[in-house]
Amino acid sequence: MRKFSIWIVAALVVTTSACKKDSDSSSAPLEAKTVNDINSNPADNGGYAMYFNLTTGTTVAAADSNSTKWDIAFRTTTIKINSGTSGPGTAAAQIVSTGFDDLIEAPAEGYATDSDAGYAIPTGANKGWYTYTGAAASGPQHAILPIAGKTIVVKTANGKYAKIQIVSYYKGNPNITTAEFADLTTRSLGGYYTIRYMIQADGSRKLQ
Amino acid sequence: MLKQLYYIVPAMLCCYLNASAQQAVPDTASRESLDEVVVTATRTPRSIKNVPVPVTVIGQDKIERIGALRLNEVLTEQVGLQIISNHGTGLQLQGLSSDYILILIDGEPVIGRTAGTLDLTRLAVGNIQRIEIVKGPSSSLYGSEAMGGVINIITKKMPAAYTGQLRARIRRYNTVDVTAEASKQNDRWGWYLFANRLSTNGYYTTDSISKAMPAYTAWTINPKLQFKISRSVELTLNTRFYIEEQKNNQGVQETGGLHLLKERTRNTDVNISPVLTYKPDDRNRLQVRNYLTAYQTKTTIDYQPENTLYDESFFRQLFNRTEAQYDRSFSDAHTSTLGIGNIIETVEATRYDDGNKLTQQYIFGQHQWMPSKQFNMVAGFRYDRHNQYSDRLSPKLALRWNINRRLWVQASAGGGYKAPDFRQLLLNFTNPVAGYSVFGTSVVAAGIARLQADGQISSLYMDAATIQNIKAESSVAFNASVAYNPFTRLNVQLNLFRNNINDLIDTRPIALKTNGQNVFSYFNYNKVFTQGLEFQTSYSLPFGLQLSAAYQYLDAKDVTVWDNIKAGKVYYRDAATNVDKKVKRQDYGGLYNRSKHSGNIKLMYDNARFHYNISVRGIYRGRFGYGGDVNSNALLDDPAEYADGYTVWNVSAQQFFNKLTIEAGMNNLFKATNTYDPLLAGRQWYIGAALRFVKNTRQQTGKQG
Repeated sequence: MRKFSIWIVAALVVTTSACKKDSDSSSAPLEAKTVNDINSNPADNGGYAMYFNLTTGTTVAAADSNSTKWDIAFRTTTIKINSGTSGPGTAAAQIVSTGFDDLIEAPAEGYATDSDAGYAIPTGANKGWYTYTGAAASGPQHAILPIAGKTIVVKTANGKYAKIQIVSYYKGNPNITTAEFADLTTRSLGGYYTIRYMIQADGSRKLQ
Repeated sequence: MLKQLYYIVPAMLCCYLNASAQQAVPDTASRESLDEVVVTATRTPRSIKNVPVPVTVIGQDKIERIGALRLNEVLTEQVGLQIISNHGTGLQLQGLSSDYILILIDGEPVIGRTAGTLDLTRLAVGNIQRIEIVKGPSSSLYGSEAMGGVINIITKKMPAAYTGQLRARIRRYNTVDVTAEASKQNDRWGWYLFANRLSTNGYYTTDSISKAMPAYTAWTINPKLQFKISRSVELTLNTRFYIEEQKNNQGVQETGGLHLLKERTRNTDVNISPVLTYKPDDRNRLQVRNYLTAYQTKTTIDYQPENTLYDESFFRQLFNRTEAQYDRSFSDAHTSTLGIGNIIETVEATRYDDGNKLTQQYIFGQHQWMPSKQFNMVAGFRYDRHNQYSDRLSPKLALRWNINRRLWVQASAGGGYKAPDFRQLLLNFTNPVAGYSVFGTSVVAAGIARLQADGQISSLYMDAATIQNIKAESSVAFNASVAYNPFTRLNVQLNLFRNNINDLIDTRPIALKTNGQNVFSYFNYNKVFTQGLEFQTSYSLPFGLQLSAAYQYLDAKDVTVWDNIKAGKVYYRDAATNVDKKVKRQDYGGLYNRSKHSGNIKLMYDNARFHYNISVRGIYRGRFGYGGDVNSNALLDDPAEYADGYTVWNVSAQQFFNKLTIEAGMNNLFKATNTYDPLLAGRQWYIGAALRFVKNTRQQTGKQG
């Protein structure tokens, strides 16, 4: 299944690049994909995180959590990478302070795996990918908001580089400046990730 | 300078008025003139014309004229000074916050800060003869905290005749302020006694459980004694006692819902300062001073209506400074100053270990050179050695050139510093709910060792032993001014300033605990700058009218953030699309709580014939970042992250009868409000009366000056 989909992606890459007239670029610009509402709430997932395969762009059943079928997993605000203490894989990741669109090449160094010392994607407000507004004097209170300009870079177990932007932590990717979002009674459910990501199939660090 | 003139003209008018109606009391009347003597800028009495740093003087008349009760009400009407509410009523000067501003009473520092803020409402103004404000760093003379500037409160002198005053003011919110003072200077000795009681119900500015200004009652007692031991030796004893009882309500969200709390705070503040002055001749002066001050605050919070304890905290600080200063004039052109001092400080607080003793020794030197009336120069330094942080050298160089009668320029450069505060040195705190720990740099090694012994440390990010010798936060600053009075009635002054502040102290994680939480300590790492210009002008109109206007432009930025923005590395999240975009340079608003534009306009009227005055003042504060973030980048760059600007209009009037002064006024006439400025109360009227007496002198009333 997984190999099959890699072939599909590869075929797509080949066909799209074939269509392009550019002779100087070996591959066409990669396409950023958006996946909406990945439910990371353990209560909805039989107590598990939600596992995700970046190559196929689909979620992976919790039964396969002890396999290399997944790259990244979401469990409320914690993001795990299939490595070390989180899974049997050898994936690694880091957060870089460059906007998703501006990050055109994955860093060569600086990747970490999940371990006892902590997750590769640090957890906690203002430590990794999100901030927590608490009892803010203005704006939405008690909201988990992704920090602007933070991009997660993942090196998958099969050596592919991918970049991920956490777009939203709330169901339906709502506009957070609305009164509806500010009101805790009308705010959409939390724990629903919307992510935007791009994966380079050819093994290079190029993410464009 | 302009500022002076701007007070001088009404002051002179009033003096004229006094002179015609009665005889002014010498000494108590602060009659400012161009030759006014100031002491703060050089720690020696010196004509304001020959001081090469920006100095502003606010006289007693001015303070009384605007009906001010506390220091914040006086300072808020000065350009470039911004009153900021943050753990008390603090001050901001040249964009630097309360932590970086030294407040002195007769040259001795006021202690007792909460989160860096020295609450200006603790300082009564009835005993003030004048306030001297020196902008720019003066650490070369005063050491720590004199980074943004120095506010020196000069208390009243003792007049030759037995003089006294009773004054009462009533204001909205059941605010009652009563002052009594009396003094006399005899041949060999003199005395001064000041007592003030202020009580208020406080007020709410928002629909909240807590009052923005709590109800409080405060007593200030300021007795002073002076002895002439011999022709050349004088001993003075200045004391001040302050006690304040505060009450407020709070609410806490608990599992059972919102629980009402009652908060009671008691602040006490004692200053005792004997000064021995030996002045054998006009060329030599030796002063030995000892200043002992104790500040204490205790807060008790009880559940209501049960009256059971919710929380209790205290903070006690004891500060003793012994200092000797020798001034020598070699000729009219050269004056040298040399001083040494020793400070012992102890602090006890809820979250600190016991037995904290801080000691500091310092030496300072200064040379003033005045080759002619046109030109003068001051060069100075101070070296501080402290037992808890690195040594520190603060230099200063200042020049002034009086080009002609109508034009002068001055320029100064200096270093300022602020010592790490107690929290940064001594805090030993573990959050009982979240489980993280914070250690001050003086206790971090022991704290980590203790946690390691308890098996609570999972991994160290760095060696705790290397985290020591934290440096003071320091600055290098430049000030330049030019003043011009093209004709007698008009004055114009322009000041430019730039402060480069390094080694700002902030927390960083140093270890991971087994509970997944971090251990934090304090490091020097941040840099900011503030720069701007200040423009002041005053114009004397006919018929006793005086118009003045002032404006400050301020630009205060975090250097790292600014560099990253310039490099295109800072993003914001577009709310409509949830896409990250780069922050544009022009969108970065800099540090929070700084208004780019601020200023004031004042119209003063003095009627010499019927002995009254009226003043109308408009104080403008431009929009400022309130500290919130709407676009997920934790910096000030979106219009919604600003609080609106506002203008407060105040009107006041005084009518002088023989011994009696009647005063009335209205503060915040047009009810300016701002969610992010809790000190903006509604419209506040006041009325008051003062009765003066001078024994054995006929026709004495006053010093409306």
